[in-house]
Amino acid sequence: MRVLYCTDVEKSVLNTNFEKRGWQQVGPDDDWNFYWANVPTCRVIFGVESGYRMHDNQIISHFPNHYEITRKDLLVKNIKRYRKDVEKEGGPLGEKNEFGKYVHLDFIPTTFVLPADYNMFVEEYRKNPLSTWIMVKDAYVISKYIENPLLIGGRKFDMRLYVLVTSFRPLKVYLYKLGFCRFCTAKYDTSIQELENMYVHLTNVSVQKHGDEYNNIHGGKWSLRNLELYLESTQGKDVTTKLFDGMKWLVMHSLKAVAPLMVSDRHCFECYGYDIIIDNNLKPWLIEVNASPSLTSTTVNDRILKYKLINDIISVVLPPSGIPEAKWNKIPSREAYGNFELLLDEELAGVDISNKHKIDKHHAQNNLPKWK
Amino acid sequence: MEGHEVNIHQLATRVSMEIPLMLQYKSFSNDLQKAATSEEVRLVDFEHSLLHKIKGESLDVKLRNMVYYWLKERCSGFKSFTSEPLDYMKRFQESWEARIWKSIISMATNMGAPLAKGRLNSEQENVEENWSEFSQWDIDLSRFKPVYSPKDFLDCILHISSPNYNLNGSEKLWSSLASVPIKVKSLRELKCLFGDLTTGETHYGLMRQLELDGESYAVSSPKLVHFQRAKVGEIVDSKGLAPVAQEFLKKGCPTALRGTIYQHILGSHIAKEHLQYYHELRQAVIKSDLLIDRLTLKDVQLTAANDDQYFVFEDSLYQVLLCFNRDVGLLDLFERSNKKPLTATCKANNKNQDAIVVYPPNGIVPFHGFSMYVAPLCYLYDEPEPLYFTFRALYSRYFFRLHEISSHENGIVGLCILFEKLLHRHETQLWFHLRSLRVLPLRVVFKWLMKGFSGYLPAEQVLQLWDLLLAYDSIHIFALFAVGVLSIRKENLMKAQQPQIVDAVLADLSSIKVLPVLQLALSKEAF
Repeated sequence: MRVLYCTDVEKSVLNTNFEKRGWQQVGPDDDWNFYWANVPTCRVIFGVESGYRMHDNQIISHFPNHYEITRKDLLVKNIKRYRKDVEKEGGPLGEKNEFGKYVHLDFIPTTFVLPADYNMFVEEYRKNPLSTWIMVKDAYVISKYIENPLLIGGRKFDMRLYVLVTSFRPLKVYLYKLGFCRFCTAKYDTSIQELENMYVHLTNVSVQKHGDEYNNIHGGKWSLRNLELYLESTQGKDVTTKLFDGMKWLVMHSLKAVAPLMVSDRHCFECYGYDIIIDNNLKPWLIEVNASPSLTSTTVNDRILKYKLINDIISVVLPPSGIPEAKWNKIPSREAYGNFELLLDEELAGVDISNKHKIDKHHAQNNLPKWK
Repeated sequence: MEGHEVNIHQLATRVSMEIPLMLQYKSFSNDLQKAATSEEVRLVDFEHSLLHKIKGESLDVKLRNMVYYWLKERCSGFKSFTSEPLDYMKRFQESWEARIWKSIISMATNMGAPLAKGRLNSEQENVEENWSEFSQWDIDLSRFKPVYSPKDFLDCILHISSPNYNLNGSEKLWSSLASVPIKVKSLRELKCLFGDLTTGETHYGLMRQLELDGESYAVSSPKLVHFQRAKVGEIVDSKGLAPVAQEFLKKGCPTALRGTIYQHILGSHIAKEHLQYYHELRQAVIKSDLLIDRLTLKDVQLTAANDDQYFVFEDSLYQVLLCFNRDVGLLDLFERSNKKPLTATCKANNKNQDAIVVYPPNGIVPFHGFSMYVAPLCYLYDEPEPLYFTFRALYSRYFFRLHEISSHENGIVGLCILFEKLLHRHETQLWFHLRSLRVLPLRVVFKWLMKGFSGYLPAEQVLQLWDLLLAYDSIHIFALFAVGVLSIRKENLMKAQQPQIVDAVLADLSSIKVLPVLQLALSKEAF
């Protein structure tokens, strides 16, 4: 049987991957097996009006309600709720410190969703009138600016990690090892006039590209492996391991926070782009989660990376037969991981979903996240 | 034969004369005097109690290390480095220097700029303010071009021939440099030298690779090896003895310890004097404007700033290299090399006071890619001072010989000959295949050798290779490794039917891993 694919994201890294596998392209109205869809298309397919029912040999690249994690206001709300739930259970995971901050689950910068949180925001603002706040895309979310970012070579950067979820209940999460840091071209300076120089503060490549000094050989992107080498060499192994574990921890718990709300449709998988900022205490902060990470290649290496990413996603989501299959248990062999590393498979870990917090307590006691 | 045997007494005299000239000596001597005046040192039992005190304060380690650093830089195997014994080598180097000088002068003339000038007060403030962000400096460098590239230098080297020896036909076929009488090591000798690499014992670099590739589950006890290496490394670090640190590197170095281990071996642990020395160099950058600085800026822009591994360190490189240009301490190198510094006339107000000065002040004209000697080290140090002195020591121990023409066996000509001999003898089939395509293998590998593979291998692999350079104190590792790279790509090279394909097969070394390649090269049958 030849796999029939459909895509409405016209990117060469996708098509070259599909063609390499000998798949055949069909239109959205044909009988496809593998749909790399954009968000609006998914909305239509999953919409009640469409009445589209997928059969067993169809899989698609989004979950119906991914906005629970990708919309910043919902993400914040879900994480806050998750923390309260965990706290109510009374385990060490929900522990708070003397300032009322969660010890293990404090990984998003203080954020308020307006107008609901207006009073809390004003209170926080009075406590620290000098803090800088930034409005996130959606104008009703206001988030505290990370004022002590880690600088490398005097430059600020943020990180892009790729996370693949093949199922929410049970949760199955993979982290891509080839993430990268995105560097500002301009130097970092906290003075007010510099705040106006947007390029210093926004490391998003699409913004950076408009800066004069954008370099199209490396595109300001530095691999995770280089970051690890640098941090381990200059700051030591323990803190570096702690940082990388902290990032995995953050990915895990942000997903656990939304897992109960997600429609766990077996036809779906989704690759998220996590944007993370590291502060100068080497603590990672989750800034936002993107459900359609850019597949546009800015440099040759970027193109290779994205090509591999797509290749490895397909390899993880397909059963050994190579034919999309919704009823498959979604436990790929190790060889299929490519550059993905398994963060958590609740099924493999033998977790009873209704009772899964027990395992978290165990981890919190060890103080080191170990999911494998 | 180069150098002459040094009588042990003469050696001791030289050591005691020259050690006080070392940068860290003053701190040492202060500490020593303090120790001597402490209560524990008694007049009755002066010698014994002083020695006891010295040991207690680890001052003996400092002294031993200073002797070690002196020996490594000035002497090798108790042989003094002398200047070039071969007249024709001298002549080649001289004519090469004349060419470089000519292009610097013509650059200055074209730009209408002086070679050096003082900065105005306002400019000085500007430079000082922007010290850590030269990358943001708005200087037009579009008309500057590197003075010479590795290719230019190789073209010059390939013209070297001995007037005392006529090559016969078959010799000409195997090497362009066959007439140059530099004795190089055989594979058998290299196998002895690097024997520890092939004993089958676990090497840290190999373990780390498996771990990074997520294949540590395939290895029996990687955690144990890690733990053990890290523990041993910590002890080595705390003792601080340079020769022990050097020995430790042979089995690979945990990433977190590499910076400090290098400093032990190279004597670049920062004492007060280092800070002051660096500060003075920094002041010199602020006060003076050198034409050669533009070449440095241009080189960084063309290489590191465009490299996805090093671009984040652009400013660190400027902080090191601009100071380097003004480091007159490096002129010592000319005592043991075949180079002569270029000199210029310094115009004084009074005509009679015109003076001859060395240009650039450190006597070293950077080639295209010079910044690559520093770039990998940027991963190891956050601060400019340890970065500067580590680079400076590596340069004065090894790298300066990679861009001068000399008959020293650790020089670039020696490396070229070693590479050709090894390849010809142990990869004969490949050699003849490449020659039949009219490809000179040396042409492909020369730039790798000249830059110590920096900029070609991933940063971590360059550092692993340099670990071994330090551990075995032998630059020959570069030539051996180059042979290994060709060996590992042999299958594809043998398929090549055109010179361009050969270049393409060897264009990207990003997947090359140092240890397996070296082990492959060392496993060839020596006969």
